Amino acid sequence: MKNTKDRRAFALSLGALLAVLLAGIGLAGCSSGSGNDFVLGIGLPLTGSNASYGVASMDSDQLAVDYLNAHGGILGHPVKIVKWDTKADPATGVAGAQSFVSQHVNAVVGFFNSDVTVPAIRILEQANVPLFGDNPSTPQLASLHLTNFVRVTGDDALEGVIQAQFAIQKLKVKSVVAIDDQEAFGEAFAQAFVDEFKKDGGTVLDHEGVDPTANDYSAILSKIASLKPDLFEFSGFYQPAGLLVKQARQMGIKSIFITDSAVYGDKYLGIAGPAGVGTYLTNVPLSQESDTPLSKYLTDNLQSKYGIKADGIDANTFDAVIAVSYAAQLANSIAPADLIKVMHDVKFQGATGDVSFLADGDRAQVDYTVVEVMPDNSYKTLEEFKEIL
Amino acid sequence: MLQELLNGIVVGASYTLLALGFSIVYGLIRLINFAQVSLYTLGAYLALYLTPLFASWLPGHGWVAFSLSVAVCGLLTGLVGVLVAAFAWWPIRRAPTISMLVSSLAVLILIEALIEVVVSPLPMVVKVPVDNRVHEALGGHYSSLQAAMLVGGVALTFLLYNFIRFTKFGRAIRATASNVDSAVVLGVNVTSTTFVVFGIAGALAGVSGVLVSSTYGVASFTMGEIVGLKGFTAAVLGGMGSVWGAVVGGFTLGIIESMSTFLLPSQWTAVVAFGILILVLAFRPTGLLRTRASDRA
Repeated sequence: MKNTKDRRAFALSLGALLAVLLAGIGLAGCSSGSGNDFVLGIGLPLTGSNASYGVASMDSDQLAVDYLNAHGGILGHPVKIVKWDTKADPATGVAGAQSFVSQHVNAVVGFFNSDVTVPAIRILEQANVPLFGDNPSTPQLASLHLTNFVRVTGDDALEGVIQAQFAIQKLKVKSVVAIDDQEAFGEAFAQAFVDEFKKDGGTVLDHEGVDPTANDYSAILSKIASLKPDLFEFSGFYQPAGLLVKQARQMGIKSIFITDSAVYGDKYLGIAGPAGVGTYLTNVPLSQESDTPLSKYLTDNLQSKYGIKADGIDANTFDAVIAVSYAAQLANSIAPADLIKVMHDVKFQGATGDVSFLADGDRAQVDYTVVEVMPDNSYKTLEEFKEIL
Repeated sequence: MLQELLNGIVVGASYTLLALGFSIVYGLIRLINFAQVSLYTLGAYLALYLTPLFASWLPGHGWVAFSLSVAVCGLLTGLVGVLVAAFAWWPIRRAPTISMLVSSLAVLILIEALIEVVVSPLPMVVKVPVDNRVHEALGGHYSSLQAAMLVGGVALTFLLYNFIRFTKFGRAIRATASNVDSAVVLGVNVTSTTFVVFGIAGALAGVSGVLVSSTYGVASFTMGEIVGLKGFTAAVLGGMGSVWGAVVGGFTLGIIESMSTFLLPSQWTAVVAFGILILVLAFRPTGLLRTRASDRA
C-alpha cells in the first residue's frame, strides 16, 4: 500500500513538474514579442561576480533602445529587449544563446565576458543570428573567422601593448612585476603587456596571478616589496586593483601602479581611497571626451536616470546596440541573415567615436587614452592613441 | 620572511574563526554547516550600517564604536544562526546527513541571493571610523585593523575554548559530542545545546566577516565563498570536531598560503595548500590533531 502511495505521489510530482516545464516553454515561445517588433537579445552578467559591470551595461543598452524607439525604432519596428543573465558563466551563456535562437531574436548584443562569448557565439553562428559584441575583448574571437560577429571594444592585446609602450616611453620605467586575475581578459591583457614590455627593452621581474575574489593580497605584495620594481601592473577588474594598490601603499611599496580600462571608474577610486592618487590607467575614451551627440545623450541620461557616471564599458555596449540599427538600415531588412551580410560594413559616429569594423569582426579604429588619478579623485588624460588597424 | 609569516597569521585568524564554527557544529551533530558561510557575509553587511550608526552616537570614539559594531553584529549573526538551526536543521534532524547538508547549502545560497537583491550586487566600500595607521614592526608593515583582526581571532578562540572547557554549558556540549544517548541520560538538553552551538558558530562567522571586510575595506555578497571553503579546509586539516584542530588548521593554512605565494609563482598557492591537505589526510585521516573527547565540541 505504501509503495502504491509512493508511486502515486511520485507520478503526481512528475506530472506537476512536466506541466510547469511545458508552461515555461510555452511562455518562452510567446515572449519574443509581436511579429512587428525587432527583438534584441541582450546577454550580460546581471548577477554574480561581474554583476556590477553587467547591470550598468544593461542600463546603457536600455538607453540605446529608448533612443532608437524615440526615433522610430529600427526600420519602423519597435525594439524589444529580451534579457539573459549569463552570470559570467560560459555554460549559462550558451544556454542564453540557445534561448535567443528559440525566441527568434533578430540580433544579439553581448556577452561582456570573453569566456562566455566564445562558446555562445558558436550557437548563434549555427542559427545564423548576428552578435554585436559589446566588451568581449579576447584576441581569440578575431581568429575564429566568424561571419556573424563584430565587436565595438578593441582587443586585449592592443591595449596591453599600448600600456607597455606608455610605461617604457613616458613613465621611463625599466622593471615591472605584472599581476593578472587569472581570468580570460586579465591573462590575455597581461601577456600582451609583458611581451611588449620585454620587446621594448624592459625587464619583467615576475608575472603572477591572484584570486580576484580575495581580500588579502599581502603575500603577493611582500614578494613585490622584495623585488622593488619601478612599476607594478595589474590586469583585471576594479576590486582587486583597488585592494592591491591600497595594501601596497600600506606596506610601504612605492612602485608606480598602472592598470587597465576595466578598472576605470568611481568604484576603483572608492576601494583604493587615497592610495589611488597618482596611479595610471589605460582606458577607452570616455563618452564625454569623444564629444558626439550620442556620447552626450548617453552621459546625460545614464547620470540622470540611473545615477551612473558613464565609462568606456558603458559606451561600448551602448554603441553595440546602435550598430544593430545601422546594420538594419544598410540591409534594409531586419532579418538576421540579412544583418549578417552587411554587419561588417556598418559605419557611424557613436558614443565611443568613429565605429567601423574589419572583416574578422574587430573594430577598425580603436581609440585609447592613458589617464592619471588626480588628488581630487578625477581622471586626467595624459595621452591619446588612435590605433587604426 | 617574517612579514610573510605574520601575513599568514593574520589571514589564518579569519580562517580559524570560520573553521571553529564548522568544527563545533560537526563535533556535535556530524553536520558540515555551510550556512555559516553566509553569516560571515551577513556580518560584513550588517556592519556596513551599524558601524557608521554607532560612530554617529559616539563621536570621537571610533574604536569603541567599531568594537561595539563587531559585538552587535556577532550577536545578530548568532541569532540568525539559531534561526538557521530552527528552520533548516530542526525539521529534518532525523533525515539522512546528506539532506541536512543540502539544506545548509540552500541557506547559504538563499542568504547570499537576498543580500544581492536587497542591498546590491555591487561590491560595497567599507569605511571604519578608526585611525587605521600603518605600523612598522618586526620587519614588516601592519595596519591597526590587521592587528585588531589578529587580536579578535585569538581572543575569541580562547574564549570559546574556556567556555567549552570550564562552563556547565560547555560540559553539556562535550557530553553531547561524545555520546548523545549518555548525554540525555545525564540530563543534558541536547536540542537546546545544538541550538546554542549553531548560534556560537553564527556569531564567530559574523565577527570574522566584520573584521575582514573592515580590514580590507570592501564587502561583496560572494565574499564568503572562497574564504568559507578555506575555513572548511582548515577545519578538516586540523581535525574536524576539535577546537584546537581548527586553530592549528586555520593558522597553518594561512601560513602555508602566504609562504608559498612568496617562494613560488602565486598560481601555485592553491596547488601547494591543497596538496599538503591531501598528504596530511593520507597519513592522518582525522587531521593534524586527532579528535579527543576532551576537546571535542
